[in-house]
Amino acid sequence: MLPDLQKAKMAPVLRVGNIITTRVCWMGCPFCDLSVIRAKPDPGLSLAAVDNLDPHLASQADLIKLHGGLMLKEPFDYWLQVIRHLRDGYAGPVWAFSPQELWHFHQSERRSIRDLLAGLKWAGATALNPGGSESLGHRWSSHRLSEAEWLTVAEAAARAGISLPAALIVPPSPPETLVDNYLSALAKAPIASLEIKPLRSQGTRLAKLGDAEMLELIPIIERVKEQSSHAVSVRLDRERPDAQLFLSAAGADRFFVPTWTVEP
Amino acid sequence: MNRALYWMPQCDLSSFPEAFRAWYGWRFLRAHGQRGHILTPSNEPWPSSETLVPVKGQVWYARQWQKVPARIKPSAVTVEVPVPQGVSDAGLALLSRAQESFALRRIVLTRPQNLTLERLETSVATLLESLGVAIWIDGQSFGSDAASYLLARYPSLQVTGISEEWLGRMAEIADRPLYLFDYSDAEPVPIARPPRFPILEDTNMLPPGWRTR
Repeated sequence: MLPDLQKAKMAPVLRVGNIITTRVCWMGCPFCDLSVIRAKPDPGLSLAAVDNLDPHLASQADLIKLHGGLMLKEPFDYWLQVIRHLRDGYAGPVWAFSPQELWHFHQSERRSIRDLLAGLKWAGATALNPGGSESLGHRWSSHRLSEAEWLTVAEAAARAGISLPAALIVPPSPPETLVDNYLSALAKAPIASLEIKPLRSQGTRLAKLGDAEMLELIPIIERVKEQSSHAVSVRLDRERPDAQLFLSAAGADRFFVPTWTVEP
Repeated sequence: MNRALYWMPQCDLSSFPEAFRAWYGWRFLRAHGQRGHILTPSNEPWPSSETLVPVKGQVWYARQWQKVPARIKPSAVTVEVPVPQGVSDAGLALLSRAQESFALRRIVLTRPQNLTLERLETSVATLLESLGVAIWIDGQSFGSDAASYLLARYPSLQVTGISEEWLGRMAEIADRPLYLFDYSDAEPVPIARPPRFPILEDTNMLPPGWRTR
């Protein structure tokens, strides 16, 4: 049953500035377009690139997300400096790294998750990105965080005062049980909001599946609203007024739309 | 209720040089199993076609309305109009006039810029209730999001000018059976849905030594 558009109130759009730390990643998740394995890793994002970020651009974003692939080149403290640097000219919310990336630093640098989270808090990050929570209902790859590991990070983040959203990937023709499985895995996690990510398969190993249509998100959002009290955000690849209208009618609370991207 | 979604491959021959039109047209039909709809600027016969100018005894695809003398009166007409906004819209007057003077085969709606989806939906719903003819929407100008919503909402609506892969997906999402269709005498051909396989856990292993090198 499709929602009635005439009663719909358009949900707000949050413009997201993306800062990509590196486009190289060893993990090779099937749904991610950073998973291209290259012989020689590119350098990570330089401080100069963040420095050259036009203050006008920063003011155009309601939210800045710092994220990227997993690599072994720059240490975690380097990224703390980048966030500090970014914080100098930007007062809005900054989402930095994800449980998946923190786990990587936890393993490669042998630092505790609590230590890493305290560092992020000190540098000025307001929240983590949802990366890693995709694996809760469906284990995408054996290399990704397990459910228990993700929950460990979620609890530590809640204790450190850093909020953490969760994200659900919606593949084309999503199975009936997708939302129920995901919400039951999430039941114990102290999450701030729930993000719906329609699968964008271009450049990934799932390219043959094609993309999820926006219309397929309607039953997903309705089910989430029915089963839980989380605020639902939808990640879009660009402004899509038609889709935003019918997704708002279905119950979406806000939309993330990318405005600019800084990458190495 | 007929929920069929029609895939009607359509070829507009007006952009091709006159000497090659017949060849392009036959090649197009051959590529779709001898099915398909041809829009032609002249009066050569095709199994399923509409002429872009009024021709006696044929179906006229009217993009621009004009007065037609009785000696070349077409047998029926297809009208392409922007979605009417409000009762005083010129498109509505045109449609009622076309209905008075000719047999109306179908109307093809295009979307004017800056028309929001809720107003678009109201107009399309009103037209579906008040006109007793087939309504096609132009996928290009409607955009895939609006077209997908309307196709799922109104099972008698058809779409043209959009990719075949998308149409297949839409038949699946809106749960409408897909048919290869044209206006020739042949029966519509049912198109089976492609199988969907579950997304399994990715078992690709990293190259040996990748994590530790």
